[in-house]
Amino acid sequence: MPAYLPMFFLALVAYGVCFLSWAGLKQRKRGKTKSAKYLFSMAAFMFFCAAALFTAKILKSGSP
Amino acid sequence: MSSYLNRWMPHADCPWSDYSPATGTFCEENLCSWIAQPSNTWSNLAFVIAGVFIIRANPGRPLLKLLGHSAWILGFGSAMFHASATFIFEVWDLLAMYMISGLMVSFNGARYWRTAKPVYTVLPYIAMTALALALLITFRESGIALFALQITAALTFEVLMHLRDDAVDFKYVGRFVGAFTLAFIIWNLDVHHIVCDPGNHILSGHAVWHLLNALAIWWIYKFYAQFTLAGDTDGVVR
Repeated sequence: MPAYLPMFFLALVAYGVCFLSWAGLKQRKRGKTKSAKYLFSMAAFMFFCAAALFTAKILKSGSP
Repeated sequence: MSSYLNRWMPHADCPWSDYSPATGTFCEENLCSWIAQPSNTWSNLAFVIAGVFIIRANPGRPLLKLLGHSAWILGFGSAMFHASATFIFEVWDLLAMYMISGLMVSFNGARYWRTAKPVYTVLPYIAMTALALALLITFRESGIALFALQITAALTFEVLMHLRDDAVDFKYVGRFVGAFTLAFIIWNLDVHHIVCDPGNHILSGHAVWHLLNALAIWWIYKFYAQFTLAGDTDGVVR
């Protein structure tokens, strides 16, 4: 596995979390709370999954 | 065990050892036989089944049929890749994955810009798939990264259309995201050997990735079936 791949996926997750949070905030401002909750949940799920995977990977091998 | 290949350096006397080895390595240990990774191979049958069902259900809908064809091509390509553990079939496997992710981006682009002309779906699709293939051949280890990038682009379009209040039933896209996310977590656990039993040739983590992705393709098909796509002569929602 090339060394740049973990950083690439980290960047992709960062983009996903920021984009979904932005979309959630936008929906909340428009009063669409159900949609906002759904988007925030997706962002949080993405963040925690990535954090858990990276932690597990670091614990396993000592480096991401 | 002597019948096992080393994952990193294939044995010189095995059936596929004359071919360039694949760049991707998984938890399941390679066997010195015509089917190097049995579990990672049989699980591709799910893609073939999904593809055949999609094709049979959509006689008058060429782009949905293309999704079905991409699914069975992916099934055969991935099965050959895991049976041989060679780069040539890894390219086939990844090309079929790009055919599906590229189709999703093209469908969503056409919906986002509200264009009904087939050329605006087909040309970007061909261009994206060809570009991804060229990048894969040039940078051999970029495979899954390009796929993830195209899926991200497709989902970005979907969220933008959701913000625009397009009248769309997102039930199946939610299921797709759930199945694909779970599959991707399992793919990572397997490929990084976090949850891994190399001697398990019946059901590996990567096999579960295949099964969940076949389900994800089925749900993404059900999602796109609600739209009238370019070239449709039968627009009935199934």
